Amino acid sequence: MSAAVTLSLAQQPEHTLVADCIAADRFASLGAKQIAELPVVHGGRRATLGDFFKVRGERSTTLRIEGDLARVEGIGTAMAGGEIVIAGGAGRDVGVQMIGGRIDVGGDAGDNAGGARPGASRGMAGGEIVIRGSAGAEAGARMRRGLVVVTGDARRGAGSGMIAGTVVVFGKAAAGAGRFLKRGSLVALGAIERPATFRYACTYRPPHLPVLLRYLRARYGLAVAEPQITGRYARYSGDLAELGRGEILQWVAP
Amino acid sequence: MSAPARLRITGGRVYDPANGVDGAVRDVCIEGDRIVAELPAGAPRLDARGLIVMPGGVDIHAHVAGSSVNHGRRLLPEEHAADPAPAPTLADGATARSGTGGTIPSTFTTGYRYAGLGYTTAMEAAVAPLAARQAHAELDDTPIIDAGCFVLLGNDEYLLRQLAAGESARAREYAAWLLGATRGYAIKVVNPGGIARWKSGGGGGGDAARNVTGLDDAVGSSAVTPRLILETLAAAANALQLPHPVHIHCNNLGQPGNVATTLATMQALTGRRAHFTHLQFHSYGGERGKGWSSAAKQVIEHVNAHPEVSADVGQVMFGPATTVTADGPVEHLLHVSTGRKWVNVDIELETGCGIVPYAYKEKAAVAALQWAVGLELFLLARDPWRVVLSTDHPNGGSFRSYPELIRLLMDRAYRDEKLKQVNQKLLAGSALLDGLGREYTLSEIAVVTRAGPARLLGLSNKGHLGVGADADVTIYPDDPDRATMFSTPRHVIKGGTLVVEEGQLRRAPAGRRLSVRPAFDAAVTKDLRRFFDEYACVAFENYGVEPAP
Repeated sequence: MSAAVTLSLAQQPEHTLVADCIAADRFASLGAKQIAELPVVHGGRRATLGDFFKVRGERSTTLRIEGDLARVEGIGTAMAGGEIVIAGGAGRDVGVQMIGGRIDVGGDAGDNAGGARPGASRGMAGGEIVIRGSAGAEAGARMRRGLVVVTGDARRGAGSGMIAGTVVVFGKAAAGAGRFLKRGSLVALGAIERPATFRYACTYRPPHLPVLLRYLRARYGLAVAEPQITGRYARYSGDLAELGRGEILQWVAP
Repeated sequence: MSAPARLRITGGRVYDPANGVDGAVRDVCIEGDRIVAELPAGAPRLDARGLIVMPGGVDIHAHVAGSSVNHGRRLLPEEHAADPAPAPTLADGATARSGTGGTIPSTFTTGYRYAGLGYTTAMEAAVAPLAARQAHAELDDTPIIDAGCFVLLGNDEYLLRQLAAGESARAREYAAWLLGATRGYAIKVVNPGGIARWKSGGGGGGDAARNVTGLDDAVGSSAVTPRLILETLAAAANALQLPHPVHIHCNNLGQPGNVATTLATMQALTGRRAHFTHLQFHSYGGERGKGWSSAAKQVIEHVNAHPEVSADVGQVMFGPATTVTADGPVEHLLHVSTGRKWVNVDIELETGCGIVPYAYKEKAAVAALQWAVGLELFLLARDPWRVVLSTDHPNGGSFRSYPELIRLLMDRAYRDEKLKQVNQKLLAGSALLDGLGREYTLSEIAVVTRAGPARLLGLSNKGHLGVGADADVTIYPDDPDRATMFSTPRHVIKGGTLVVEEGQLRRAPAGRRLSVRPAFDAAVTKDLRRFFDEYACVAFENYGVEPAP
C-alpha cells in the first residue's frame, strides 16, 4: 500500500479517452499492474489505462492525476469514496453518478461535471467535487445529494434538474442555471441568469451558508470573502415549473 | 471444428419430453440442419458425457423487435452506458457487432444473449401492422434465433367497423389477409377495445371512459364489445387453422380484482382454443383503491380444467424491467404512479403503445405479490405443456432472468429462502405462503422452456429431438445450482451450426423468420383499398412488408 497512487499522462490521447475506470475507491484493492490494465476507450476503440498513463503507487484511496487531461473523460465515474486530486483541468463527465468521496479539479472541467448519465433520472448521489476554474455545461445536473463547487464561471444549466444537494458557483452562472430543479440549493456568489420560473421570496442570512463557506475555505483553501460569509442572500424559490421546493440563493453584495 | 454438416453428440443425458425421453443417456445425431436417426461411423463427435442435452429453448412471448422496443431503446440511454456489449470474437474472423444491453438490448446483442442462454427461437409478441416492416428489418439484424411476429388486432378501426356492421366473415378474411401482408405468425389481441377507447379520449366521458372495464362495455358502436372482438378473433384463428391460436392479453392488466375479467374472458371462449399470455398480470383479487390479493388459484384451476386453454406465466423477477405494451392506458397509470419518464404512441388506425421503465423491488408489497402470483401459477399448474415459462420480456424482467426463475421452480429451499426476504403485506391467502412443496424436474423444465412453447406455437420441428426436427440443441453442464446451469450452456447448436462452443459464442448465423400465409377471399382487398384511400397514411400498395397482391 502506498500513500497515494499517481497517474501521469505519458501518451497524449489523439481522440477522446473515456477513462471511467478511474475512481479512488476502486484503486484501494488494485496493484499498479492491475490499475494499468483497466479498460479505457480511446476514440471508440478499446485500450488500457497503462497505454496512456504511467502508474506510480498502488492500493490507495488517494489518487493524484497529472498532465493535460482535456481529452480525458469520465474521471471518477460512480466513485464511492476516497479522494482524487487532479493537478490541472479535466474533460467532460468528471464524477458522473458519483456517490461518495472527493474530487478536486485544479483547473477547468468539461461538461456534465458531477452530472448524470444521459437519460438517467438521477445523477450524483453523494460526495464533493471542487472545480478550481470554470465548469462546462450542466455541472451538478440532476444531483440527488452532494456538493459541487465551481470557483470560476459555470456554463449553461448548472444544477439543472437537481433533486437535492448543493451547487455553489463563485463566478457567473449562465442561462438555464437551476432549470427544472425540484429541491436543493444553487448558491450564486456572482451573476446568474435566473430562469423565469423562480420567484423572489426574501432576502435573509441563510444560517447554513456560513458553515458551508467556512468549510470550503478551511478544507480546500478557497478564496471566500468575509462579506460572502456574513452577508445577505436573496432567495428565489423554484423551479415553479417543477416541484418548486428548491432555491437559488444569490449573494447580495454590500 | 467448423460448422458441422454431421455431428454425433455422444453420451449426454437427454431430456426430450416430446419424445418421452427423460434423462436417458443416448446419442443425438445431426446431419445438415436436421436431427437424423443414425450417422455412419467416423462422423465427427461432440463428447457430452456428464452433460445434459435438451432441444434449443423456445420463447413464446417476448418483446425483442419493432417500433415499440425501439422507442424503449431510445428512452433508455442510461442503460446503454451502464451495460455496453462488446462484439464477441467469432470463429474464422466472421464479423460480429458490438451493441448495448440493459433491459432492451440492441438487435445483435439480443440474438447473441438469447443464444448464450441456449434459446434458439423467440416470438416477438406485439407488432403493429403498420410497423411490421420495421420489426422484420430488426429481426433480420437479430442473429441466431428463429423468430416470428404476433400481429396486433382487436383495436384497429377496420376490424371494429366490420364488427359494428355485423360482418364477422369479412373480419376473418381481413385477419387472414393481414397476417400474410405483415408476414405475421399469429393474431395478438391486447386489451380488446380498451386501446381504441384510450385513443379516442373517452369521448368526454372522463377517466372511466378512457378504457374498458369489462367484456361488455361498448367500444364506439354499442354493438362492439371486448367480448365480440375476442369471440371473432378466436374463431378466426381457429377457422384459418393457424398454428397458434389467438394470443390474448386480457382487459384490465395489472389491476386489483382483474381476476373477474380474466375468468369471464376464459368462459366466453370456452370450447375454443385460446392462449392467455402473461397470466400473472391478470390474476389479482382485491379491488381498485382498496387493496390487492392473489387470485392465482382461481385462475389456474380454470386453466387446469380446460384443455383448450393455454398460457404463459409472465413471471415478475426482482430488478430492473421496462414495461412496454400496446396497452396505453395501463402505461399511463404506471407513469402517474411511478413518476418515471414514459412514451405514449398512437399508431394511427391500428393500436397504441406505451413504455415506462420500472423496477420490481422485494420490499414493495405489490411487486412481491406479483412475484408470488407468478410462482403460484407455475406451481399449481397441472399440465406444464399448457402453462409455459415467460417473463413477458422485458415487462416482468429480462429474458436473462430465466435461469434464476428456473432455479426458483426447481429448488424449494432456495425459493422459501427468497420468500422470507420479500414484503409479506399482500401475501395473506397466497398458496405460496402456505408452502408449496412442488419442485420442477429437469424434464418439466424442458417442457415449459422448449417442448411446451413449441407445441403451443404449432412448431412441429422445434422443441424436440426426434428425427426430422430442426437441429437446435442446447447442452448444459449438470450444475446443482440450476441458475448457473441454465445461464452457462456448454454448447449450443442452431440449425446444425455450433454457435456456442465450450461456453463461448463462436458463430452467429442469421435466424429464419417464422410466418403464415393463410388463404383469403380477394374480395376483402377491394374493400380495404377503399378504406385505405379514405383514411390511411399510406397507400394500400405500400402497406405491409411486401407489395400488395
